[in-house]
Amino acid sequence: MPKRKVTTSGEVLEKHSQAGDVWRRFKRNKLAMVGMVIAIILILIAVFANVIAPYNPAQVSTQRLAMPSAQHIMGTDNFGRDLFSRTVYGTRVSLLISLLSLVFSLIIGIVLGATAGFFGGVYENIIMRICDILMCIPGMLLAVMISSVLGIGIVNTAIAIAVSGVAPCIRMIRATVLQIRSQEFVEAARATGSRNGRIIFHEILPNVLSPLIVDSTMRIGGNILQISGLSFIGLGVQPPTCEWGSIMSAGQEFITTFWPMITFPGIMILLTVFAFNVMGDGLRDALDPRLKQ
Amino acid sequence: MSEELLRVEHLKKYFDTPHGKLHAVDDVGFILNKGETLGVVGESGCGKSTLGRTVLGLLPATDGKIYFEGEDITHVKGKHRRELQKEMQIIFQDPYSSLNPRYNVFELISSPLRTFHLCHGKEELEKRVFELMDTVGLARRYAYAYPHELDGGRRQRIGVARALSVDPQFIVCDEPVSALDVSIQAQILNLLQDLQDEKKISYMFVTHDMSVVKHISNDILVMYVGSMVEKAPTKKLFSMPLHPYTKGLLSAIPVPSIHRQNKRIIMQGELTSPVNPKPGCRFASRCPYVKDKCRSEYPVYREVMPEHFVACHYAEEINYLDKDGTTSGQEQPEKKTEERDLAKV
Repeated sequence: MPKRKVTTSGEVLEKHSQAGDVWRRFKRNKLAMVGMVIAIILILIAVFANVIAPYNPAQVSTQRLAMPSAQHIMGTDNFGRDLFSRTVYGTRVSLLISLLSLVFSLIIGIVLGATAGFFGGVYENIIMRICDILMCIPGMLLAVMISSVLGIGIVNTAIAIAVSGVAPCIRMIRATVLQIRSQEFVEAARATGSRNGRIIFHEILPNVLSPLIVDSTMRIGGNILQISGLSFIGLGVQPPTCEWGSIMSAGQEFITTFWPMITFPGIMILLTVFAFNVMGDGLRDALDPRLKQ
Repeated sequence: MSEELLRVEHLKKYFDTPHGKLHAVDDVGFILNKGETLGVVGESGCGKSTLGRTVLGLLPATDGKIYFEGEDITHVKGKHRRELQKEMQIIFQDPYSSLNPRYNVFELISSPLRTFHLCHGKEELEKRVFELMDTVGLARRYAYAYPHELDGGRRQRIGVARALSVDPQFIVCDEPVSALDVSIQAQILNLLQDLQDEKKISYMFVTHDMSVVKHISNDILVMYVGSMVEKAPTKKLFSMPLHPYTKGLLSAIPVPSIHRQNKRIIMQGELTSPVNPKPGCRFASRCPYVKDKCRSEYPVYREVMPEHFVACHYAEEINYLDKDGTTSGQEQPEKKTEERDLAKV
């Protein structure tokens, strides 16, 4: 482990920026670095899908369910479309919807959760009871309801998934805020003239980060699976647009006879979930100055 | 005579609980002069900290008046309140939970300067923070350390620096040394006294440690279950406590002498609940001198001797006081009276 720049008595000597500190701590975590590299590669694949893919993902051919070969490195699907090209293009849709819905649910979750926990009273009660109602309905069913109302499309699917998963997020943030609100440093901030907004954003939210990051990175994987579920019943993305989940659900029929259709997108989902999870863990540790070693 | 800075009159703070009103602070009043220290003592849960926070306006007062420099500030809000916060600050008991673990020393001390826009430009801010660190005796090399890397004494110095950053006239010290080692307690107390001498700051020093309060206070206010039981200049209180509760408190101070045999007054009985207290003296259930009147009638807080206030029906009789305020004799009270035992059953 690299040495800390402190003397034996624990004195921190030099000035350093907070972002630099975070990056230095993050770099030490090898697994997190691996996760970050994978995540960056995935994002690059999504951005440059049209350059990487050798075929048009919608182009059909007579070579149906072909095993991987030099021509089609992942084989072809039941319509003779190149699986590699489809998986590459699928990265775009899967990642985009997953991250977009994460952003939506974080915005709703932070605003409602933090204010509910901070202000309390009737306002908190209303929000938390709505959350309870949302949590009574199975997430998938809720997503189906919302996306059938909103219609199909990338943004609408992202909203549907975000809303269906926002209740636990609000609850988690509220619970953490409640716990931090009662600490003396919040009172100290109030005594030194901080207004509510500053207290929430400057004193409380930085301390909510750790559970929030863990929760968010876990949800990226869950989101991808939910998109595929929605696509499967025709409410996610519409063919010929493809994403990993829809490729897999189409391949379900041939699972005993033709493995590539389910394996390759599966590996991609696995890699994505793994990459974001370990990256999130590393980020959480790096953001916490208490775990400086 | 020194100038009056803070005057509190009939201050009340009740909390709503499922069982009724919790009388955390009940009819408390005092006057604090510029550059002086008022010690507030009492056992845990007697409302000392609540009193401090209510005076500062961190908790809204249920009733009563607070005057700061002659101006009624009880219900001041908004912009004016922020102005007041520059004059009135607080140092917290726990140097661990009162500092946000996410920020380093520099950020913690500069936070009030930023919220009040007291410094213009990065350089001025830096200069001021380092000045403050020098004032409280915190080495500049700690500026970019996080609180968890420092010991309790240094953390408490951060708290002092943060309170001082806005140059207040009045600081509530909410048990600032009770979480520290004795050697560090002395350092922090001396620091506070030096600051007082230098800047004429007034303190309201909340504590349960009688020896600390003796060291630092001009006046002492003794609280019991939300109400004042006695108030006197420090010397008078220590030489002649009038209220039975104060007597008990003082007898609990360890005396480092083998020759002086101090008779400990052991408190018996249960603490009266502060939720919907019954009429009568709140100390009645533990008082060795209790009489019928104590259980039915609330004792009036009165000036028994010059500058010496006490809330006890029988202060004169217990202390064998003559009308001119001198003692005519000392006698140990009977610890347990028949009457008391019966009352408990």
